[in-house]
Amino acid sequence: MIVIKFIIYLIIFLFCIPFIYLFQFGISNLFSSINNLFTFYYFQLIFNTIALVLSVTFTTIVISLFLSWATEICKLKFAKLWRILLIFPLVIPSYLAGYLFILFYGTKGEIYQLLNNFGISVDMPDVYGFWGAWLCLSLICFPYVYINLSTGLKLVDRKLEDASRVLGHNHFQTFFRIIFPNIKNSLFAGSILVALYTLSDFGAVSALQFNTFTLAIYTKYRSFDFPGAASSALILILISMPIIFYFIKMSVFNSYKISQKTSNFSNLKLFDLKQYEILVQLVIFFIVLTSIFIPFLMIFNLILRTDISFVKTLDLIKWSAVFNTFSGATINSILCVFISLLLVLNISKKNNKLRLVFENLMYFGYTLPGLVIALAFVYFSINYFFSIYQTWIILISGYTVLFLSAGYAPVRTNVDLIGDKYTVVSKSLGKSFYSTFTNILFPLYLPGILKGFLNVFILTAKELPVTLILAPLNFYTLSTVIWDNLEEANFSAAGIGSFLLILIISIPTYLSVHVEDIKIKFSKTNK
Amino acid sequence: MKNEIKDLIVSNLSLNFDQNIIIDNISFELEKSEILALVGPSGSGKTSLIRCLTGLENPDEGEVVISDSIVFSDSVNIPIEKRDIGIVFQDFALFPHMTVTENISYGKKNDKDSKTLSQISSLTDLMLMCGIYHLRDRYPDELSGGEQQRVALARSLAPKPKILLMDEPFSNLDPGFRMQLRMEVRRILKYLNITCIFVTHDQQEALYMGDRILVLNEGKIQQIDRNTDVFQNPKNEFVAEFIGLADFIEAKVINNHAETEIGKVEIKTKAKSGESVNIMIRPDDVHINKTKNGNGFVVSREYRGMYYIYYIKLDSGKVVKSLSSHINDYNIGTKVNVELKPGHPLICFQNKVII
Amino acid sequence: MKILCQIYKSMFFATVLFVLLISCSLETEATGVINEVPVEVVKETEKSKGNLVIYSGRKESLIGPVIDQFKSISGINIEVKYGTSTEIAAQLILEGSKSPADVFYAQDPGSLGSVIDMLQQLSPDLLEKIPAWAKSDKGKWIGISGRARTLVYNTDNVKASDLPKTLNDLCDAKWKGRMGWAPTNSSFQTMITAMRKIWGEDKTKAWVKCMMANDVKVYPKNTPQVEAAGKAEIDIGLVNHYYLYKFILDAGEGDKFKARNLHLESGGPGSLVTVSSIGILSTAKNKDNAHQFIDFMISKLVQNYFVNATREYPLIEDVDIHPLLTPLHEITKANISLSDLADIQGSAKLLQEVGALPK
Repeated sequence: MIVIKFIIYLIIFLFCIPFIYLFQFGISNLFSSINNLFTFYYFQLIFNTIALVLSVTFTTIVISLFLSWATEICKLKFAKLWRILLIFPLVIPSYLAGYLFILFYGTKGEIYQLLNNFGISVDMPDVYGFWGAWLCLSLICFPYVYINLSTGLKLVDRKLEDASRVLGHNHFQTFFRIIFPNIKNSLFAGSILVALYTLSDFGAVSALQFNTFTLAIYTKYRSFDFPGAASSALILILISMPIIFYFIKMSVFNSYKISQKTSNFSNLKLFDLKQYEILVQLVIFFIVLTSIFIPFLMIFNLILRTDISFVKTLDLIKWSAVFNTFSGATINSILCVFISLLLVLNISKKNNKLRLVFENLMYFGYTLPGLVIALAFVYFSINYFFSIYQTWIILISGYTVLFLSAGYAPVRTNVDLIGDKYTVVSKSLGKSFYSTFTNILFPLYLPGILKGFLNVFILTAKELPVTLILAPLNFYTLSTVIWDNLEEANFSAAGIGSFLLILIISIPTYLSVHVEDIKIKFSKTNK
Repeated sequence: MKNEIKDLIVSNLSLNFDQNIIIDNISFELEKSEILALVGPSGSGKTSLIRCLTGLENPDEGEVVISDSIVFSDSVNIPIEKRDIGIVFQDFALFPHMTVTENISYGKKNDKDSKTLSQISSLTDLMLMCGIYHLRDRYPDELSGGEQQRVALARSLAPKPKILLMDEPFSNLDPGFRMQLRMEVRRILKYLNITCIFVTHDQQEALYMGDRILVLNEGKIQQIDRNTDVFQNPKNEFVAEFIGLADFIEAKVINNHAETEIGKVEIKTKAKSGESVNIMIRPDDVHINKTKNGNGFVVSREYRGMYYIYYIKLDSGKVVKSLSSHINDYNIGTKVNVELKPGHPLICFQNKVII
Repeated sequence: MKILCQIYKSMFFATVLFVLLISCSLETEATGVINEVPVEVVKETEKSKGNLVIYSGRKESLIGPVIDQFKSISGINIEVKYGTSTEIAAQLILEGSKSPADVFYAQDPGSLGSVIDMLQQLSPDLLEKIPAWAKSDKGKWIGISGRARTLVYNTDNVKASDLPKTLNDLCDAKWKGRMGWAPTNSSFQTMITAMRKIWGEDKTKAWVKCMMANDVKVYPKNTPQVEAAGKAEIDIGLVNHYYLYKFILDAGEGDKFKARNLHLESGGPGSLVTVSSIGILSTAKNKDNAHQFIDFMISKLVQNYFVNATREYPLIEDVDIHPLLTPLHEITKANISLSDLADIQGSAKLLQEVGALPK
C-alpha cells in the first residue's frame, strides 16, 4: 500500500514539473508584459486559438456522430471495414498531415494539376490560414470522438430505443433525444482529446500557417525568448482551464446520472436504411477518401517522386527507428494504462477531491505543447536528476506526462461503468485481489484498457518535439526520420518513413478492433 | 356487442426466426376496455407476439388491425411510432437521463383525445393517480423498483394509446409488493377503460389481471377464454396444468362416475362406460388424513401461510397435490389416507384433450 | 477464459513481430549504412578512441553519412543529438555548464551566436583554413558550408527583364500576391538581422511592412516555398539557394521543374551569404575529439560531400563548387560580418512588432 501511495505521489509530482518550470520562468514575465494582453494582436491570437479549437471540436463531433450512427446503429454493408479504416486518420502525424494537405489541396496542388490535365482550370481556394488548419485538423482528429462514441453506443441499453419509438418518436428523434444523451459521456471523453490536441498542435498550424498560441510559443522559443514562451504557455493553460473544467464537470455529472446497461448483443436490432444506404455509404466513402486515401496516396506520391529503384528504397529504411518507435510506443502505452488503472482503482473511491485535482493536472499535460514539457524536463533533470538525463527513463516520463490523459479517460470510463460489485462478489467467494483482478476485473476492463493502450500508442508513435529533445543520443524514431527528411526535401525517405509508421500503428489498431469483436462474439455465445 | 368496434384484431399471425417457428398462425380479437392476460411458459412466444404487435418485430405473415386501421398486413407496415400502442417493458426502460416528469411527458400526444381518457386533464392527474407525483423531479436511478414500475405505466399511458401492452411488468419486483401493485394497476386500467394485453408467466397474476386469458405454448394458442372458463374448463391438459396446479389421475368410467385409486367421483363429461380417462384434480379436491395404514405418504410440502400444499405419493407411485389447513402439520414421510372429495363433477381428458 | 486465450494469442503475435523487428534492426544496422562519401584515404589520424557528443541542428539524413565515415576512420564512439538549430540552442542554454555536448553544429551562425558565451576558443590551425568572412571574429566558431540567400522564381511567369534587382524592388505593386517568405525560418531571420545592421531598424521595418502590404504568402519553411515556386503557386520566394537543386534533380531530365535561383547583385542584405557553423563547448569533455571532428568537417573529403549532397558552397580552397551553382566570387556578398548576426531575438522582436510573427 505504501508502495502504491509512493507511486501515486511520484506521478503527481511528475505532472507538476512543467508547472514548476513555467512558473519559475514565466510568472514574472506574465505580469511585466500584462499590457500585451490587452493589445489587439493578443486578442486576435486568443480569438484564433479559441475559434480553431471550437470549430475543430464541433466538426469532429458532427462527423463522428454521423459515422458512429451509421456503423453501429444502421444495417450497413462493409461496417467492419469502415470501423477499422476510420481509425486510421489518427496515424498521420499532424506535421505530415499539414504538408500532405498542402500537397493535395494547395493552390497549385495535385487536385489542381489533375483538373488541369483534364483541361479544367479552377482557382483553388487558399488552403493557408484558418480554413486549411480547421479542415486538416478535423480530418485527422475525428477518430478520437468516433472511437469513443462507437464504444459508448455499444453500451447503451437499446431497450430505450424501443421505448421511445413506441412513445411516438421516429428513429432520428429517438437518436437525438434518447441515444445521444446517453452517449454524452463518451462524446465528452472524445471531444476533450480533440479540443486539447488542437490547442497544443504545432505541426498542422505551422504547416498551414494559422497563428495560434502554440505556434506563438514555438516562435518565441526559436528566437530564444524563454520567459516570453513560458508566459505564453501559462496563458495557454488559462485558456484550456475552462475547457477542462467543463469537460470534467460534465463527465462527473453524467456518470452519476447515467447508469448504462450493456445491451444484449445477440438481440441488437439494426436500423434498416433501405434505399438511403447508398447515400450513407457514399458519405462514409467520401470521409474515408479525404481523410485516409488521399493522404496515403500523397505518401506514395512522395515515395515515387524520386526515380529510384526498389532496392534503393529498402535501403532508405532505418530499422532502428522502426524498432525504437515500436518499443517506445509499446512501453509508454503499457505504462500509461498501468498508471491509469492504479490511479482509478486507488484514488477514485476514497478521495474524490484528489481525483479531481489529478484529472485536471493530467489534462494540462495534454494541453501543453510538447516543446514546453520537453524543456521543463530538461531543466528538471539537468538540475536535480542528471543521471537520468538523455535516457529512456526521462523520454518515457515526458511521453507519460503528455499522453497519460489519453489512456486514462477510457480506462476510467470503463472502471466506473463496471462498478465494484464484481470485486465484492469475487472477494466474498474467497478469491485474492490478484486472482480477482486477473480473472474477473481484467476481462471486464479490457475494452477500456485496449482503447487507452491504442490512444497512447498512436500518440506516442507519432510524437516529435519531446522525442527530439528528451531522447537519448543516437536515438531515432520514425517521426524524427520523417521530419528530418521532409525538412531536407528527401521525399522518398520521408514517404517510406510515413508508410512504416502507419504500418506499425496499424498493428495495435487492428488488434484492438479484433479483440473487441471477439469479446462481442463471446458474449453472444454466452447468451 | 356484436357491432361494437374491436380494438385489436390479429389474424393468422406467424413469425419464424432462423427456421424456428416462434409464432404459429395466431388469431384473436380484443374488445374495447378489455384486459387480456397473455400467459405461457418462458419461450412460448409471448414477448415475440408483443413485439410483432408493436412493430418492433416484423411478422412473416398475418394482419394486425388496431381500432379499425390496419397497421400490419402483406402490403401495409405502419412504423412503430405511428401505431398508437403503449408498452410497459419488463425492465421498464426508463430514460436514465430524464426526470420522472420528463420521462412521462416524452411521448407524443394525440391531437384528438380518445373518449376513454377524457377524464384525465393533465399529466399531473396521471401522476397523482399512479402515486408518483411526489417523485416528479427524481431520476430513475433514484427510484425503487415499484416506483419505476408506476413511472413506466404512467409514461405509456400519457400519450393515450389505443392499446396498452404490458410485458411481464411485475417480474422484476419482490413478490409481496406484486400483489399490491397488481391491484393498483388493475384499478387504474379499469378506471381509464384501457384496452390492454398483460403478459405474464404467473397464472395467479393472469387470473387476477385478465378479463380473458390467452394461454400460449410453443407459439400456438392453447385456449382463449374468460378467466373463470380457462380455470374451470381448460381445453387441454397443458392449460389445466399451467393455470390451475392441476394433477391428472387415471380413472375408469362407470356410468357417469369414474373409479380412481383414491375414490369414486362424479364426472362432467359423458364418456362411455369402461373407457380409461385422465381426470383433472386440483389440490383442494384431494383431502388427506393422518393414519397408520394410509394409501400414500407425504413426500414434500409447501407452507403458504393459511394452508399447506402437500405432495403425496400414492401406492401406485403417482404424486398428487393436496391442499390442507394450516393446522394439519404433517412431517415428510407421514402416512396419510388420501380421498378425492371434489364436491362437484370433474372434467376428463383423453389424449391430453378435454372430452 | 476464451477472451483471455485470444488476448494471449494476440500478445504472442505482437511479441513475435516485436522480436522480428529487433532482429531486423540488428541485422541491418551493421550493414545498411548508406555511404555516399567517395572512398578516398584522408590523412591518417591517430586512433585515439574515446567519446564525442555532437548536437546537430543539421539533419541526420544529411550529415549522418559524414559522421559514420568519421567514426570508422577515427574509431571514436560518437553520439549525436539531432534537432532544430534554435531549439538545440535553447536546450543548451537550459543545460548550462552540465551540458553533455562537446560540439554544436548549427544551420546558421545565429544559433551559435546565441550561445557564444558557452563556446571555447578554436585553435588557430582550424581557424586559418576558413576565410575570414565565414568565421567568428572572436574565433569561437567556423563555417562548414556556405549558403546564399536568393530569390527563387518561376521561370514561366517571370521574364528575365522583369527580375528584381534589389529586395526593395519587391515592394513594387506588380509583385502583389505573387511572393512567399518564411518568417519563422532562422535563415530568414538571419537575413533580417543583416538588414537591420546594414539598413537600420526603421528601414527594415518599412521593408517588412511593404512586403506584408504586398500580400506576401507565409510559409513554414524554405522547401515548401521552392516547391510552390516550381508549381507557380507563387512567382518569387525568399529562400536559401540549395533547396532548388534537389527539386530540379527529382523532377528528372530537362526543365521540368520551373523554378530557378536569382542572386541579387546589390550587395545588400538580399545577397547575404551565411554559413552552417560549428563550435566547441567550453564545458566539453572530449575537446581533442571535438577538434579532430571539426578538422574532418573541413577536410577536402567532407567539403566535397557537401558540394555533391547539398550543393552548398565549400569553404576551403581546392574544392570545386557544384556546376549548377553560381560561383561565390560572382556573388556580391552582403557587406557584413557573420558574427554580427547573432541577434536573432532582436529580429524576431522586430518581426513581431510589425506583425509578421506572433507576439
